[in-house]
Amino acid sequence: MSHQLPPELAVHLNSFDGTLSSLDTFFTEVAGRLKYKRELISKHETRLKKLLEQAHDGIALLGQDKIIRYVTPAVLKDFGYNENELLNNDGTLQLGHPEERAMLTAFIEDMFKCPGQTKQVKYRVKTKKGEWKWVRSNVTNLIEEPSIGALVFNYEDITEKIEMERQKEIDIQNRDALINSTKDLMWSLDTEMRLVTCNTAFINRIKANTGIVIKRGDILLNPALYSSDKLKKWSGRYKLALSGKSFRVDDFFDLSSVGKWEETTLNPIYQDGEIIGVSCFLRDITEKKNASEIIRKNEETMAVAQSIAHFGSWECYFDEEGMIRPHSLKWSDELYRICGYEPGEIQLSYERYKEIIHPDDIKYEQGMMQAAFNTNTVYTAEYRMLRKSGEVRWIKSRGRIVLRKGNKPLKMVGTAQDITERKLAEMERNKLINDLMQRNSDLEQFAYIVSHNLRSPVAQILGLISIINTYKDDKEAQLKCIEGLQKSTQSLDNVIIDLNEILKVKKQISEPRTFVNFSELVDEIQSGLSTYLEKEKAIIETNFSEMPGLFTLKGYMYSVFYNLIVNSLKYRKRNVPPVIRIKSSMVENKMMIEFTDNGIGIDLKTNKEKVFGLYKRFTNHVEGKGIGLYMVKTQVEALGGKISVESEVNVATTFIIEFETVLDI
Amino acid sequence: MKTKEPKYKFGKVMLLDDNELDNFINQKILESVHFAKNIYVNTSTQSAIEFIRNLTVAPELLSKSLPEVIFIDINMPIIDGFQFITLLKEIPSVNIDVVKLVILTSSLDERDEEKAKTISEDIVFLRKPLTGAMLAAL
Repeated sequence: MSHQLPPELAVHLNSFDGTLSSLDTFFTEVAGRLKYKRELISKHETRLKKLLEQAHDGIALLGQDKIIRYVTPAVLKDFGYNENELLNNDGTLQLGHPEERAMLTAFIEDMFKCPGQTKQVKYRVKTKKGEWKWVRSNVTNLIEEPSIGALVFNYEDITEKIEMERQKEIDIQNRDALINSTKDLMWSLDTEMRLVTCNTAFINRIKANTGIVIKRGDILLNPALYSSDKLKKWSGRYKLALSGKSFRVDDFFDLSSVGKWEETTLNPIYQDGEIIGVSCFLRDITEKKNASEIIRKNEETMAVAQSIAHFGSWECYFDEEGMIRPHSLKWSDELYRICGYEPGEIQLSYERYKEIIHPDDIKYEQGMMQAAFNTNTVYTAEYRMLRKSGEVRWIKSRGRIVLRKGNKPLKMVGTAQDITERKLAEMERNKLINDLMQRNSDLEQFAYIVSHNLRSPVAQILGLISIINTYKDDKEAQLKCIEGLQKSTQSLDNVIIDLNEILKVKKQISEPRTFVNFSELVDEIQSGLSTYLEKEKAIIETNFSEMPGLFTLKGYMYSVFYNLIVNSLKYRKRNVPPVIRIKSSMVENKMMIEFTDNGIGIDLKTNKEKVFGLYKRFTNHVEGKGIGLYMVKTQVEALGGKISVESEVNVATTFIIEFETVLDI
Repeated sequence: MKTKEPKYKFGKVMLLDDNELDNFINQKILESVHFAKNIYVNTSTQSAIEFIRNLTVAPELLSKSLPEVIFIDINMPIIDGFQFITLLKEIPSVNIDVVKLVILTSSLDERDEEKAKTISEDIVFLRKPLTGAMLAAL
């Protein structure tokens, strides 16, 4: 096209390096040389400058040799190239996307043939970073314009627009796929109750029922589609939705042997605050209905079973530290009834629950819970509970820990049963067994006393009488025999007194149990033994702060304490005032009573078996019949307890009595 | 038949009983039937064992003074009659086979008799009071 330009301009246009300053120079020089066109060019210069400075869109000038002559700064910014890379470079077309390159080449060829015309073209351009950008260019042929002489590409970056359109298309496809892949029915209608949109499932349903292929614009309440009662039903529903109500309806279909449930949700569609139609969503909820029906039936069966078996269930949740969350406790209806309340009558909390447990059993129950928690084993506890009426009932509770992620305890679920009748029977049976064992032991004891202690003085008397008969003339022997007879009859009497003492205590087994206060018991014994204690300067120290007493037979308890105190006094050290320490404590649900003295001790290595034997004595120095500790042992055992002894010769002796407190109601 | 020196059945016997009255009765009955020339009386197992141990220092003393019969009570404090027999057997140089062991008790408890039999079939079990007839059978 250089023939259309003055030669001077053509030369300069060829040396144009694309910068604004050089453009200035270019125009200035052109102005200098072409004085006859000064006015005209000056006008062009101003206009073009202004145009270029104002342009946000990129503009590029493509010479007839298909080499870029000029680009606006926006072009460099958009694509990341510098001027040297773009200008006077014959690889321009290489920046186009291979898919559009041929089209673009043809387009440019075509454009060069149409001076003065403007056409639009869309294509992709490679950025410096190697990404592709979509541009839409308005291309104008200004070849004949003396000051331009090129194709002017005025382009707009439409990458985002294209991407959005593409995404929108994908979204629509996805939505359609989603809507059409479900078995659920979806459709919408306008205020005239004509179908607006629907999914494939809806079309298929209509087709299966009627053979009609429904399409947009068809009237939905068509007698060909529905039976008259269905028409009436749906007409009512659509009208209700069109009046602005959102709602859900369940339909039941009795299909041969199987029932079918369907749920339809209807929502009005608004546009600018006005209802323009209804959207409908229908799904098969037969399984859900059946499942909830099964659950309801199970719950009903469970409730009936629980009420018949007096059997409750519960659950509680643990926090991160393994403590029971205060308000996480839940009870079944029957558990409320077991505790004497109407279902839901009390506001449940762990604190409230602890108020319901018998005060003596709280420590025990918490211990069992803690143990189950620590070892992740089954929780089992039998404890007393106070009913609303104040009545005491026995409960057997069992629970299992449910773990959360990371094997930490989440909650515990369990059962609770009223075992009062069984527990009372069991205690009665234990009491009977204890009584029988006691009576058996009494008989043995009685036989032993008869065979040994009663027999001994009788044998002496018989022996003495035979001597009296033999030594008729021996005055000295006669006197000694009479003296002996006196001793023998005296010891015979002592044994009879012992027997009476033992039998007196035995009678008390049938007496009712009472709460025996240990401090009061020791006071009573101390006043009875006051002369003895004063003579020996004995001190009795007690500590019953942990367990002040026990529900038991007072007569037995008195005898146990009395005999242990007297035993300690008897076996005191000759030169040291006796000190007896008595202490009660609770160790793992067992009541422990310890008697410790500072006496001569017992050599348990040789005598362990005999400590509690009847008429067993370990020393010649002390007057004793060997009956006290035997009585202590039989009485402790009759009360369901155990006694053991620890001793160090010449230091101390400790008797330890333990009772299972749970046995005592 | 009376002689100046009565004819004794045994040379020396021992009585072991913690009860002095019993020892008196038994001694008198032994004497009445001239059961032994010498009667050693002990009121505790310890002293009886000590007595026999002391005899073992010289063989001639042992053969001269070891009791031919020992009457043993069962129920004694600290060491009972059964334990005495055990301790006696443990003394070296005492030939227990030459000593007749007689348990003499007021107990009617059959278990005591059974226990005596388990220790030795040779142990004689007698119930108080001692009589002339019993002694004649020994």
